[in-house]
Formats: sequence, structure tokens, C-alpha cells
Amino acid sequence: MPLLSRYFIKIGLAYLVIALLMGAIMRLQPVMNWSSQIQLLRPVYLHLIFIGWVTQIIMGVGYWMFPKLSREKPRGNERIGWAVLILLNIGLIMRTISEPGIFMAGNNDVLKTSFAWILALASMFLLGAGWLFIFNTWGRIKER
Amino acid sequence: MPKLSVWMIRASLIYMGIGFLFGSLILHHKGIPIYPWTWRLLNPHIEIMIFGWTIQLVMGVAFFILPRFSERENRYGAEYLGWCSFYLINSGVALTALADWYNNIRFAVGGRLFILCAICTFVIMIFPRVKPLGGFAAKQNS
Repeated sequence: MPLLSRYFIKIGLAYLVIALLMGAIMRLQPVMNWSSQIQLLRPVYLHLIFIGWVTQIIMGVGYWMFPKLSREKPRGNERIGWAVLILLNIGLIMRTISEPGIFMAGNNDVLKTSFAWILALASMFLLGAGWLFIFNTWGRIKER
Repeated sequence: MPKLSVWMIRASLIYMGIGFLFGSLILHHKGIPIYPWTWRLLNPHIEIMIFGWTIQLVMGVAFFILPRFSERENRYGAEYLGWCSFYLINSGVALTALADWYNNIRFAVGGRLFILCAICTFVIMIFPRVKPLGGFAAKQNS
């Protein structure tokens, strides 16, 4: 298994654990009378599962197992593959912090604006990761 | 990779690109607002990411990697059912996403029925292929 795939899969597994922990905390919130602001984690929780876990595992396994592109470049452009990994994970981490952060900043405008810009930047990172993955994978989806 | 898998996986990648674009616009809008209509992309985004991207990708890969029939002319089973499933799921996802955008419940239900038919057709086709390996592959594994 190539190194890049191992990173994708291991990081994906870590996201799964974190997301399930988040899910458990959200379930516990009303029972334990914790702050209802914990429920702000819901979109983050869903995206950690769907992007952090499912999509990342698909990317890792796809990079490893899809048909080879050519003898010279069996898995397409490896640099693009690394760029996908970095953009996806930085984007996801930025989102995880800034999405609930905007609401939790309260009346602190400086903090709120900072989180807003981080969130906007995260959206571009995630889009870049997704499109680069498609670009790098497209040629490998072919008949023999 | 068989032709049907190529088409399914490529279609799923196209949906992934669209789904990521919609998601990115929504996320950007949450931070720095872009257009007032951006929130209307939420339901199409969910539809595209679940059915257009993930489920279709799984179908394409399953058609490719599940054990084949060694002593039959059509090694992949009833391939025409797979093609029916391909057309149904893609038209279903597109119809539901558009219906969500225009807030048209009838078309959204229609699109979902297309998707349901696609899944049923695929299940009927793929069911017999969920079996132990046969022929050369079985000899190699034993």
C-alpha cells in the first residue's frame, strides 16, 4: 500500500473516532445538562464522518487500487495526491474550529470576523481538494 | 475495468465535483455571505453527495470487483440491468436535486422513486455475484 494511501486511511480512522466521540457528547448534552451550544457541533460532526472518514477512505483506497494510469505514473501525479491530502485535512480542521467558533464568539466582532474568514478559506481548501482528486483520478478510471 | 463501472465511477466523480462546489458555496456563505440563494443548495448538496457520489461509486466498484461467473457468456451477470440502474440513479439524483432547488415536492418524490428503482435493479443484478470465488481464482486461493 503506498504511503499516501496509508496516511489517508489512518487519518480517516482518526476522524471516525473523533466524530463518534463528538456524537456521543451531543447525545449526552441534554442528559448531563451541559451547555446547549454543544449542539452547534452537528454540522461539523456530520462532515467529519462524511468527508473526514468516508470520502477520505475512498480517496486512500482509490489512490491505491484503481487501475494504473501508466507505467511511468501508475497512480497519476503523486504531488497532486499529497496536495489533496493536505488541503482536505487543513480545510476540515479549519472548518471544525471556525464553524462553531463563529457562534461561540458572541459579541466579539474581531473573533467573529476572523472565524468567518477562516471558514471561507476552509471552503476553498475543501473545494480545491475535491477537484484535484477528481483531476488526478479521472484518467485512471478506464477500460482495460 | 468493465464499461459500466467506468461510467458509474466517472459519473460519481462528476457528482462529487458538483457536490463539493455546492458544499463549498454554503460553507463560504456561512462565514462570508455570497448570495442569498446559497442556502437553497443545501438539499441538492446532500442528495448529490449521498446518492450521486458515494452510493454510485460503491455500485461501480462492486460491479467491478465482486466475483464473476466463470462459465457463462456474460461474466458480469445481467449487465443490461446494471445499465438500467445507471440511467435510473443518474436521472433520479438530477431530478431530485433540481426539484429540491425549485422546491417542487412532486418531482422530488419522482426522483426518489427513480433512485429506489435504480437500487432495486442493481440489487437484483448483483445479488447472484455475492458468492465464493470460482474457477481459476478459487484454485489459486485453495
